Amino acid sequence: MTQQDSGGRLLVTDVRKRFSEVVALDGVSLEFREGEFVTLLGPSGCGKTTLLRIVAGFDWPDHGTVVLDGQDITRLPPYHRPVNTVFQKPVLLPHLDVFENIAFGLRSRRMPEDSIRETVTGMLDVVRLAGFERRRSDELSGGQAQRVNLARALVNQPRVLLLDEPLSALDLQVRMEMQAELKRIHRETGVTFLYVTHDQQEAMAMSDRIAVMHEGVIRQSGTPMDVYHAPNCYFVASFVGNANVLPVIVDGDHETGNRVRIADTDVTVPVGDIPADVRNGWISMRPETLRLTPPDDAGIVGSVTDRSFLGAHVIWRIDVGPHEVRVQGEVGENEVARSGDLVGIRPDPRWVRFLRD
Amino acid sequence: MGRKPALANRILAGLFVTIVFVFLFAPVLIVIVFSFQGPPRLGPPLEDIGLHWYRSMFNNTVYMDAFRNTIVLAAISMVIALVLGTMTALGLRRAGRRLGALGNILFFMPLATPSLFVGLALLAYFDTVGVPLSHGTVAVAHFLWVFPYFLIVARSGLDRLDPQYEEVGADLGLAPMGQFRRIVLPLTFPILIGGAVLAFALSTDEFVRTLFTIGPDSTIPIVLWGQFRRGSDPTVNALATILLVISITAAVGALGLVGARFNRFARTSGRSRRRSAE
Repeated sequence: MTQQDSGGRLLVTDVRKRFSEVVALDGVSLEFREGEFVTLLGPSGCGKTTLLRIVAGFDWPDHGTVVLDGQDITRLPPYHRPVNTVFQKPVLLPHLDVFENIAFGLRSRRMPEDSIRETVTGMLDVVRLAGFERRRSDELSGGQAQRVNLARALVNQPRVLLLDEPLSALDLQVRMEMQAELKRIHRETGVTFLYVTHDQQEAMAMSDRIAVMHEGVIRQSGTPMDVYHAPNCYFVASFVGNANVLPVIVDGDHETGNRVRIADTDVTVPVGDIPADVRNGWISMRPETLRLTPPDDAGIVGSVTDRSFLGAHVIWRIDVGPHEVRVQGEVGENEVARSGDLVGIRPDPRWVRFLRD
Repeated sequence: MGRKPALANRILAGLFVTIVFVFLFAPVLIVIVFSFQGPPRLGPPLEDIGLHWYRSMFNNTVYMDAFRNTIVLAAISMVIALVLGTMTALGLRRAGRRLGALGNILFFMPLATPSLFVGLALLAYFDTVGVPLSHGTVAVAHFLWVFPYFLIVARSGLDRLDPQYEEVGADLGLAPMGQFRRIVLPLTFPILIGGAVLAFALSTDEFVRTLFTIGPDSTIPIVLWGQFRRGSDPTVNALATILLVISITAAVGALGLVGARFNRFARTSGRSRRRSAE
């Protein structure tokens, strides 16, 4: 692989963008360190693709700046930016073969012919497509086309590589392979990756850092671990992973320790710190941090409504008052708990998060 | 699916199609056949087969001037329509829905305007502004005639081109002009060529607008019309046959070019649309 010039520190500051009546970005700030793999994660319409397009230069923000390695590129057209994009659909140029598709950016920069040959051949090795030089775009599988798409962007040695849901159209198996490939390529090239996806598994598997977006703002930014185990709001807790998020009430005194009461029930749950002035909020509990116990042994008691065997583990659905709580356990564990049984649920206080909003 | 149509229906349908084709092609065949007839008569019986009327045509300066005028006029109006029409189609593609609809109405209105009216209006207009009738004035008339047709064809091609192709170009370092030359043009030129051939063909047999705006010169349709008013000259059969050969060759060539390239392009973009829909 070619040597990467240092660089790729991207600073997005208070970016706002609206499309007629719709606010796509409502003040987004984010810093990308050199060589970092950052994922913008959120449901469709959360503004993540708009942010990517603003960094790429396809859209201009109404407000705010995009600074790359100290240079303000907010108003620079895409063809003058040292960034490249891997588009969601490969959009390979149908009149060119694989080699020429990858060489396209080098030719527009008028690189000498023998350097082009060398660079493109090297890139074909990186994306494991050696021997496909003369294939045309309609002779490639979806995964192969997406590799060409990736190579075509990466060959220009961008300081930031922008990836717009590049795996979303691929079959599950190809998608998993490509995740591993992307991680390897990121490691080998050291390019800063800005990756956009709505798939939290994808985000967790690949990223150094995840920025969870919702309704045009970043709700939380942190390592996959942070975002998963320490969500800071209802949205992040429920969107990332599959947490049990229950409304709770902070009853007047703190004499019972740091406990909150699940709304519409008598059940109280121990939690970590609660801000002093808060009267109600939410708790988030990951299904795999909960344990089933006999009903007399625990604070939370409910009746099992369903038990699903999922191969590696089992999911119980348990009604606790008007709420449903999911508990994940190992196969063979608590085999007694079946639909209709009364069971206790023991949360691990370390993994119970209190959320204000 | 449904039952086979009754035998009587099928016979009727076959008969109808046969009649249509006979009326379409019989006159053409008759013209071709009698262009090879010996002098001096126009019409049956066929005798003294030879190239007499072809020689007569090439020796006739009126015909040859008209022929040259027709080709030059068609070439000029084609080139102007090609350049302006492509630019217009590119612009309308970027325009919003409302502006695009307005553009459609304005640009396609000439198609619905009677040629007699356009011819008269142009004549009056040139007279008012003091421009004498010439090759220039008739070229304007022909451009106005072929432009909307070219635009329809060009838009059908350019509107099908995924705008993301240009974003790919921009992302890979091409300014708008480079995007056009290296992406838009290679992907759409067969369609643009097809539109240009259509424009050329429409210009060669335009009559009414030509009559009003050409002044002292002639084109083939004008000469033929004058010829038949004075009585028939079998030379026109030879002339018509040559025109037919030229136009069929051009049309088939253009169609082949458009068909081959366009199919592949459509297939590819169709597949990527499906992918993104998954």
